[in-house]
Amino acid sequence: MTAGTREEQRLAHTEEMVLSMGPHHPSTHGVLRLEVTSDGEVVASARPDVGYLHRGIEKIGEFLDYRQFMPYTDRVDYLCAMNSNHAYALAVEKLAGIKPPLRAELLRVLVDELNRISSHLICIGALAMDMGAYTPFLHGICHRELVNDLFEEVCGARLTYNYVTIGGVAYDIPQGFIAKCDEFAVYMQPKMSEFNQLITANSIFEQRLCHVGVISPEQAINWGLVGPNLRGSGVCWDIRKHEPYSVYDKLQFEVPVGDGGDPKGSNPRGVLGDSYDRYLVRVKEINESVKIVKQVCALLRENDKLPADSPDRQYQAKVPARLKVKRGEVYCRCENPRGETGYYIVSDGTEKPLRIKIRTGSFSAVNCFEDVTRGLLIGDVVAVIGSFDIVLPEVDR
Amino acid sequence: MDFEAIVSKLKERWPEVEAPAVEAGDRFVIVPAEKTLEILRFLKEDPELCFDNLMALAGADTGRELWLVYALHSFKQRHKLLVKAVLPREKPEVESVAKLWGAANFHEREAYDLYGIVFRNHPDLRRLLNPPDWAGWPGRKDYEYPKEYRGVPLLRDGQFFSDDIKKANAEREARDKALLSSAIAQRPQ
Repeated sequence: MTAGTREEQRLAHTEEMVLSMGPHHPSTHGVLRLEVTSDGEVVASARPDVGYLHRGIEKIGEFLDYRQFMPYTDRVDYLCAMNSNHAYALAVEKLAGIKPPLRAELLRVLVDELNRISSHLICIGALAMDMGAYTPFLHGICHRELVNDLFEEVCGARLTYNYVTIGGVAYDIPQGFIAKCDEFAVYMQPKMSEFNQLITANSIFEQRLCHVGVISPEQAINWGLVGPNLRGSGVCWDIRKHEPYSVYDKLQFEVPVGDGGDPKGSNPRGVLGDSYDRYLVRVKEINESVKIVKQVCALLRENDKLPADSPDRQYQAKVPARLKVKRGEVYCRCENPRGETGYYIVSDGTEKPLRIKIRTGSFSAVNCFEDVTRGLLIGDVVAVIGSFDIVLPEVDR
Repeated sequence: MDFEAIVSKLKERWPEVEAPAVEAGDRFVIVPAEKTLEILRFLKEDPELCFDNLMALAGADTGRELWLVYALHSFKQRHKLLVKAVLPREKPEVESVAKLWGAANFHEREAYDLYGIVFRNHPDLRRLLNPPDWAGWPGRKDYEYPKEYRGVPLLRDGQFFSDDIKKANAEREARDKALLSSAIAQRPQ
């Protein structure tokens, strides 16, 4: 909510001060530093200063061969390592002309959606925590723990999985895993309505987020916002739906978009593209992901009935031990929890790529941060950071 | 519109635009570096092309020349295009497109930071990921990793340390040795 009219702000104008928020501020979600110039509580400008986590991952990739780079993609975005793995694998496969078998695609989609659920749980929980409600965060962490347990069973790791490989996945799932995923999906749906009762319908929470950080659809497209941030502004664009990769074209799911200001919608008191809309899109996406998990489990059960030597039953395509990729370049994108993750890879015909560029969702969110927060109160800046779901290693790489 | 149609539309106005054949991956167009802004504005504003979204902007170094690649996408027309500008390694300069797409702001700062590509008329061209006083362009192929930054050694192996640090280390070692030997000498028999 902006503080008063412009005339009131002018009359209340006092001396401006420069405040350094971060890099170790609890509500900046990692090592983001904001150079806030404010007049009292009103923000004149909040310039993001990034790079504290710059590890030169893109440059490291130029010294490694295509397979060796996979563990680094885990570290690009640690909250959704499966999706990052998948995005990189898709790009290399597109360049090298490898087609993974059906079972591998199903397993990838399964782990993608589970990871999307866990990533969104962290986001909405952390946003609630930023707004002063601590309990929802613990609920989110608690449900996420179950996803981590599932991933531990499938690949041994709980945070950086390195599970998706070029041409398939690293291991087949253990026995009884599909039943556990189904169980999780059944568990998750009532838990989400519990979560909604706990915080989504809370009127204080709603008032903190409505009308804060409003982004119109045109602005969102111009700033290159992606994923839930773009959909929160009412632009119906989901790469899973509109440019389907893997097996997403066989699955039924909806693309939730922001509907702020619509009296019959879920955000009647807000306006289109405010922070509450972005929050709601994530809550709805969890439900959609649960639906997808159920469908994929059914498809995997069918797949299990195939004879063991059927090509569709394999979890890894045949990829040469020394993977050489033809000369060429590719820009391949994938829908991650934080939106479009694009890998631009240039190959010069050798075993190592000439250039890897990673375009991530948080990068564009940080880009438009200064314009979005102009004129807000300092407390609302925190709300905007939370609603953008910024993960800093993704920005700095 | 498919790729061929977009290329022929561009070639009508700028015959120097090239669309080389590729062995693998995506097709792309190469545009002259001095006309990028003009061509990209046309790509954005022409109603049939309508590239309203800049997906990514990447600098790249092949060792001989620098590339600047714009990945464009249109929400209205649902098509994509890769546009490449080839820049010389000495004095790479190009017009900024931050006026066309707000998304370009940080991408251009990153390309400047890593590859030293200067964007004319950019609203705020500073280093993005590296500290402001960092020397050199880390993305380039001939970049040498600095041995130290503000007196902090950056390489683990002792041989890469600067002479000052080597000298200080040697002094410290000598001092430690002297302390140790005097302690041994003073030890009661």
